[in-house]
Amino acid sequence: MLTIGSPSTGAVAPPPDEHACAHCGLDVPRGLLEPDAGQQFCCAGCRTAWAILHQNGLERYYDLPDRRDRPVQSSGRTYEDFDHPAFHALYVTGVPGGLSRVELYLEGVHCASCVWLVERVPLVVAGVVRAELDVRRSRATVEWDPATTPLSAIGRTLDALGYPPHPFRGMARDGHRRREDRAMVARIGVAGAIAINVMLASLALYSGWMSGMEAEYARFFRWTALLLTLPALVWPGRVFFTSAWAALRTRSLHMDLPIALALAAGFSRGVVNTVADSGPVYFDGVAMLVFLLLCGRYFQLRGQRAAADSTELLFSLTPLVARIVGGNGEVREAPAEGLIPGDVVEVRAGDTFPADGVVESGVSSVNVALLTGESRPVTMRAGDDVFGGTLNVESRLRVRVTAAGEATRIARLVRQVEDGARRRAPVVLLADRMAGWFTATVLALAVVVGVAWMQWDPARAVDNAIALLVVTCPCALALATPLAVTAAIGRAARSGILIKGGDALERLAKPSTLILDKTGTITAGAMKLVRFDGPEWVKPLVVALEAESSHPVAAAFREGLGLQVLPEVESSRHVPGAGIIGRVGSHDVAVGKPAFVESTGAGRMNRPVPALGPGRVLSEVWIAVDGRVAARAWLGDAVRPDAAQAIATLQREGWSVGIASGDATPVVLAVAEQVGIDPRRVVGNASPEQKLALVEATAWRQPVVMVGDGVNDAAAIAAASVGIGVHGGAEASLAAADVYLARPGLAPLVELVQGARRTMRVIHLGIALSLAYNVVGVALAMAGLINPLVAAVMMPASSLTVLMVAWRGRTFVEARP
Amino acid sequence: MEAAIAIFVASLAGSAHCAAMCGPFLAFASAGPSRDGRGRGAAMTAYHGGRLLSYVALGAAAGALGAGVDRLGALAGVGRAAAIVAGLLMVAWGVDTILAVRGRRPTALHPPPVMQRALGGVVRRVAGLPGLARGGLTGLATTLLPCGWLYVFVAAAASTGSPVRGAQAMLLFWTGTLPVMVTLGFTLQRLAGPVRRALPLVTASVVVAIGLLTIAGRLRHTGAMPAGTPAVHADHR
Repeated sequence: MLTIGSPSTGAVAPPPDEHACAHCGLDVPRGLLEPDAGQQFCCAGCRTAWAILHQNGLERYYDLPDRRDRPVQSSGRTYEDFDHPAFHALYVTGVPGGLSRVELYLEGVHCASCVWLVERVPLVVAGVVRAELDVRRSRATVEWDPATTPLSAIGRTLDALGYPPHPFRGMARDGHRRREDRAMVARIGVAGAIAINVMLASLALYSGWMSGMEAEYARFFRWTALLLTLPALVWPGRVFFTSAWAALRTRSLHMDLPIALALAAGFSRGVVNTVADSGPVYFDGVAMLVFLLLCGRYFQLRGQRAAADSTELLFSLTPLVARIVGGNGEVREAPAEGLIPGDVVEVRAGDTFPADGVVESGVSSVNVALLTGESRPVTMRAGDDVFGGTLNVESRLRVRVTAAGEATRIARLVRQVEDGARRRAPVVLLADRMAGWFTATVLALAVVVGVAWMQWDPARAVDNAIALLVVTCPCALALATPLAVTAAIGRAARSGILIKGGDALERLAKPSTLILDKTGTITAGAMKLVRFDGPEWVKPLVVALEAESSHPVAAAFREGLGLQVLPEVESSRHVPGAGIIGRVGSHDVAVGKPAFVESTGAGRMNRPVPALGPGRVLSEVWIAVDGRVAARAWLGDAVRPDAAQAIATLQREGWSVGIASGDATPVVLAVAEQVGIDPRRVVGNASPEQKLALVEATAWRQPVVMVGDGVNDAAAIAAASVGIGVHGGAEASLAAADVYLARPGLAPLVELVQGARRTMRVIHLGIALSLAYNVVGVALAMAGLINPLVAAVMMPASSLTVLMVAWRGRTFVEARP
Repeated sequence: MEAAIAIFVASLAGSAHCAAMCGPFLAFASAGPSRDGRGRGAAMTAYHGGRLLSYVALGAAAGALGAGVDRLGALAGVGRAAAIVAGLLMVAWGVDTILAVRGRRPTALHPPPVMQRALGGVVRRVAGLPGLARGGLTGLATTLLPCGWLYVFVAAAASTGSPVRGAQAMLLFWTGTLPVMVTLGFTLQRLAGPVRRALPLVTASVVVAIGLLTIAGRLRHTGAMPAGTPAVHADHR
């Protein structure tokens, strides 16, 4: 018997008077014991295997079971949180018989021997009914009686066995899927078995017809087929009836309705003929139909799931495995999903942070561009907050987790995108409506076919009507369209394009007006100080004032002037789109656009503009100290190398591209000329408010796509038909924008509109395929050219084709930047 | 038919040993860069496939050897020479193992180091290969392990005196090892104490029984005889 405190006793480790083979662990025959040898072996094979493993550095294998043979270090956690009602509400489900079920992520699961050990838990803890371990996912399913046993006791036991447990979050979804799968496979199995037996009985009937069968045998086989088919309809086939009934009750038309009708009609006709003891029975067809339809549905379900999972891949933004630092300072790997607040994790250079937390020790620079849009790595040291999904660039950090999994900033972001993905594109809504009409048409046609064939050839009327009901399927409309949208959004996400809704995708597919921000979108956004015209003593004041700002101009001053010793900043205020004003040392300092600096009360500066070289388009910045303009500076920003080409591509595809920028008009015009944008579509000197007004005025006439800084242009982006955030970070941008481009430059923008167009093309192709297939199928069924069985094969085959087109269709090119 | 059943049952009964011994190689074959279930499943399948190939080849070779021994025996006027030699070897191995369990020190014969070097070389070379190739090659090389239990069945294959039936015998042996190796994995250390303790004795007794039946000609696959291979002696400890 296993005991909690010392798992090394009992069956887990050999009693001391026995000797286990160093390799396989079986007992060494006494005659083979070598008293002086370090290791004992039960045979030559084990000796050889042991030597090979050691010579090739694979001896870690032995550590796995060895862990169990020594008393395991318990983490000492009490797992009291496992008994909290909130914990139960989140992670525990009820199962029949008053039991509860929980899924736990276990640390330290290595191999099949762990399965054995974990599955012994019911022997150890009274009240535990079942414990199962999925070794590949390190996930244990535990069922227990909550009335007698607290979950914390189970947690402590697992901990004592060397597997500290953590709640598993994806449980609801996974559990649901597993139940769905199990029920489906069971249904398919039963339906298949019944179908084969009914076919056998029918085979006897058919051959009997040809060779002349005695009436009582024919009757026997008819009744046998009936009795066999009945359970196929009552259990596996019930799904079609229940969903058809549910559709009827909600007065909607569901695609299971024709199928249910077909099954019911075929079966009833068969029963009538069986009782009447004459004519064909349709049981073989009905039983086979149930089987084939269920198979088709199963594959369909798998396809849908695979597509839905592509959105989940957004989670690829955070790592799957975290390095947890244990109580003794040892580091072990554990699933990141199992992290809980309070854990200490080690994040090495080049690693992505697995959760939000506070730096405990170490100094490193961290790239937080994903969240904040700040492209330069930020220095983080003890006490600083770090966030899951951001990248540790420089050196090792130890981080105490404050929020993990669903509670992290990155998870909120992902949720936003996921929620958005559920926003239904107009084409999806249209497809839904069409599916309803479609079903109604099919039902009406079936009646027409049945009645017409009754007049013509009554024996085939039922067959043909059933074939028609079965062969038609609005599946492409009802399933393929949303599937294509979901798959496209998932694929886009993986190439750094986060799309918040299917509607945005649809609007981007048709060219309209596109307004671009200049700085950071067309240009690199990295301002450079080209010229500073003013006395030396002004420089420290400027750098000090700009020290904390993330604005590109501030960065340019910091880099260009590069001073270390700075006066103290008493106060500072950032005026969006204009400049910054504050008190530095004992001076009032304003830095910004000439108009802004003038508006602070400083007079004009009357020195001539120095020669800056031909063809350079620079932004002028004034610096006023104590109410007088003391210096001027010129900053430049280079156009991105791919900008001209990308804009030309967009224009060729029919987009009317314009620029709205807060920068001085001549600067914006010069950039526009370089990238080939019509100067009439250029607006310079635009404040965020003016940009908003521009977007609203344009949107009134036609759809407008606004591309800009997710923070400063948030209002204009939100007002646009489709808003696209390019910098300012995903988190802030997606609050207002429909799309966030996580990669710099205009290439992803081109990818986005082209991907959107391809997605719509895939959707249209799916609809066209489905309609064509249905027209052909209906025609064949009406003409009596296909029987229900052929129809039952055609239906899932066609659905699968359409679903595959929707799912695999080339929409966005998946490529990690 | 009886021979087929006997081989399968014996293999099944002793497969716990196979799983325990080859477990690390299976783990090595199936753990690698592709950690997903499909890749792992494919690598495991490749491992067992490789094992099957090499077993069947070994069985055919043993059967051919048995045929030769039979012919030699016929020249000397002895019928079923292969079966008698193989049966004697099995009985000897079984008795030796039983005696070892009871505490008698067997004559230690060490396997030729070349086998160890060869298998080690395979392990080193395939470590960087993708799952399928790694699994397959590791499986193929598993036969190089000087495992007495394996060579008992090679002897049985030789006793058939026919390459085809020899290959069949090893196919049956492979089939018998599958259930435990696939389901239980390599967790024999965790077998409950009494089962674990009795395992060597049980398997050895089974081998003695099969060996006696083979000598007596009561296992019907008519046949010839293998000479004791060095490997068979090697494990007689």
